[in-house]
Amino acid sequence: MVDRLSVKEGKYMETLKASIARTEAKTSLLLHMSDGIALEIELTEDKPIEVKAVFNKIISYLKKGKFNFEVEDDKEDLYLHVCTEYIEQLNAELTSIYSELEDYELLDEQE
Amino acid sequence: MKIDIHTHTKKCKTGDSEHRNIDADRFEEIIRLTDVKILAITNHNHFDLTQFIEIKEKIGDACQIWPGIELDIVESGRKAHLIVLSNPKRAKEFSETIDELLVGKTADNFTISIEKTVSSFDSLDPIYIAHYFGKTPNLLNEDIDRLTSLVSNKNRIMKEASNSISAGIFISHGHNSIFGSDVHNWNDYQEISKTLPDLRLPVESYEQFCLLLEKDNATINTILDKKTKESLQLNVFGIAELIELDIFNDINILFGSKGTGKTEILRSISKYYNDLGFENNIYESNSKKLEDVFDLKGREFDVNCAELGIDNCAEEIRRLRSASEKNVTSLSSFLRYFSVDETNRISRNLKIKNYTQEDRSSPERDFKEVQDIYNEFEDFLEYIDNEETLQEVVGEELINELKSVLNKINVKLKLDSQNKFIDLKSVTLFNQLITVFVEEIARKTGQPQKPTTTGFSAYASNRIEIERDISKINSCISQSIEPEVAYVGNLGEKGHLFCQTNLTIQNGSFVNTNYQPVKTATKSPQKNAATKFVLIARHVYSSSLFEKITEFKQIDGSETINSINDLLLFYRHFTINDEHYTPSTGESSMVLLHNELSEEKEMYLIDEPEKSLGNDYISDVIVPLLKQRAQSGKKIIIVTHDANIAVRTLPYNSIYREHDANGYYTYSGNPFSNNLNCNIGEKEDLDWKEISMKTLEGGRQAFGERGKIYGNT
Repeated sequence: MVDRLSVKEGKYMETLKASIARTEAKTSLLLHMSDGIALEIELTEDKPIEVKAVFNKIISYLKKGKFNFEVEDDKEDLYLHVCTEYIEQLNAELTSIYSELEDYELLDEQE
Repeated sequence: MKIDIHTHTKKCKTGDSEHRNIDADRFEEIIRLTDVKILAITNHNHFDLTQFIEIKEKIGDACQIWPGIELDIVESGRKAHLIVLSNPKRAKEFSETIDELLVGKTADNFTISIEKTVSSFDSLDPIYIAHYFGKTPNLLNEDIDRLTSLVSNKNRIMKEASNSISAGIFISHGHNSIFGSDVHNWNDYQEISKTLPDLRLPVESYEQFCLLLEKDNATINTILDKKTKESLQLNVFGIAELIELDIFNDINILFGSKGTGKTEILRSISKYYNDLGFENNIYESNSKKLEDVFDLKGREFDVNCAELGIDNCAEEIRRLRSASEKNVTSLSSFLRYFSVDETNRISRNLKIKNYTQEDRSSPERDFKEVQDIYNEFEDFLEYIDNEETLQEVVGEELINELKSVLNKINVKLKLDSQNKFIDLKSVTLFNQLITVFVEEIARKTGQPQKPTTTGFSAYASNRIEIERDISKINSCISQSIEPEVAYVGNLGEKGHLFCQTNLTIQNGSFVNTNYQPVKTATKSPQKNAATKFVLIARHVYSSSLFEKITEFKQIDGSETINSINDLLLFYRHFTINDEHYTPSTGESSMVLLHNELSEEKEMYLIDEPEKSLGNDYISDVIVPLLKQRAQSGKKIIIVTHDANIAVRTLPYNSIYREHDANGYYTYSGNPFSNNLNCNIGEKEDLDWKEISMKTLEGGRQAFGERGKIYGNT
């Protein structure tokens, strides 16, 4: 699940996998967190409450450490384009929010 | 002003202590450390004129030195001691008389009869002080009767007691009495001197003392008139009974039977001085309760977090109330954008639209941080420029040196601030550029607009701000506050009484029925609001956060909770030795009166201070305090039925109210003349002592224990 660790601004950054789950009923973006949990953002229907719930969880993960996502998918379709763009923007925003948490000393203390 | 009529400066007899020997230098050193202003040298069967003169010259005006001798009297085969003091102006003759008497004798074997004593000394303006009763070896009553029959002025005979209590008892039985130190060791004299008799009237000479023994009214009035006094004419009971009173800058006692209008007179005196601009009020025993004075219920109590060094979080609570959720970018907008082929050639070539917006919040925080530091330094430089005292104390050179360093720092800060400002604006402009291009491309081509953010950043920043606010609020709420402790008074053996104000901030789980909200806040919204703050903190990163914030806004009385000030609770109570204590009515009176007298004022008007107080407290604490105030020239006017106060303070002025079948009368007098004169002259003078004993509660006992040298013998 953890593909690699990169170093940015002196902090280790974990690169996590983002995948696309396509079924007949729906297509979702899955964010695979380091503890094995996959956070799901549905692409085929707007569900802002669920997206916010995912964002809340992402913030909680960010407090534990810096990470970003890399889309892994072998099917070049609309969803891949959407997810690539979405993850690219999200990664920039993750970096920004991590920095904000750090500045305000809101990161969880390392054990 | 203390008097000591019995001292020894030499070891004269074999049995005398060597520590009685003292030279003039040491004598002066010791006496200057005491309040003794009159001292008689009364060595055993011996008078050293040279030493007397040496000591007198050395001590100067600091203390009057009177010549004297302690004689061994033999009368009817009995031995006794009799002190003879002489007028200091006749010290030489006194010395010669003693030298003649002592020819061929030593201090050890010298004795003299009462008759010989009188015949030898009576022409020297003497005062005879006989050892009496417990002061041994003492003259018997028959010996004193003999002495009285022989001397030219019986008022010059006094009886020496062993201490103040004995002296007081003698006085109450009509004996002129006094006591002295009979010093054995001068090293102890400073401590011993504290127990010596006090002279209430300033005695300037031996002659004046003798006149006081005579109760010479002219002398007493002369001395009294030296005290500042004011003559008041009061219309207390109507024009038919105008009351004329002298009020001294000393103790003025107003006494008399109940129902004779003493309190009304006191109120009239109070009004008189208030009208003149001397603000005063009457202290009335039992009119106030200690718990009201110290505001145990907190009716007037107010405190705020700033005074306690705690942030009141008003801004954080305001932001919490107005917080709202940030929306996220819908996924359908991404789908819409990518589901349409980009056919426009120019649009395809405009790569800028594909750029990801950069983080603006980070350079914004960086800029603000440096800017805040820069502003602090600017403020400090301004402070230095405006603070004249600092410049005066530190000096121009040092100030310029400091300013030079500060200016260098500011230049660097300004430069860094400018760079950070450029960074911030670059990001802002870059992001705006992307937004403008994306919007314009969509408008011109009619294709869906490319989303430039997922909304995560704005969403998370909003939550982070809420977390910061609620964390700060709860952190401030959890701060413990040290109790405020104020001194209330001394309860003697029980210890010192304090008033403790416990303060706490309602945290949602605090339960103690003794605690009350500070000021206008009410308990329920306090507890409910604090509970909600805890819940909000737990839900900052949950979907139900704004439900919890809404619950806070909807609690009853939520509008009353606008800062942590509104969550303050207090509990005020009395303590002794850190233990909760509820003082009795008597203890409350003790403390209130003590505090009244401890307060620095020009005048003290006190109505029946004795109420609820024990005799011991009045004698041991209140009377000394009254005397202390009187000595510093304060006006003290007391209505009392208590002899401890009316007698033991030896007031300069006693005002007596009498009522008989013909009406009410006001008398004025004092213990020194022992007279009370009717102000309108219709009635005969009264005997101060008799009236005091008859009218005042505990009068006889007070006289019995008084132990003063004059006033009412």
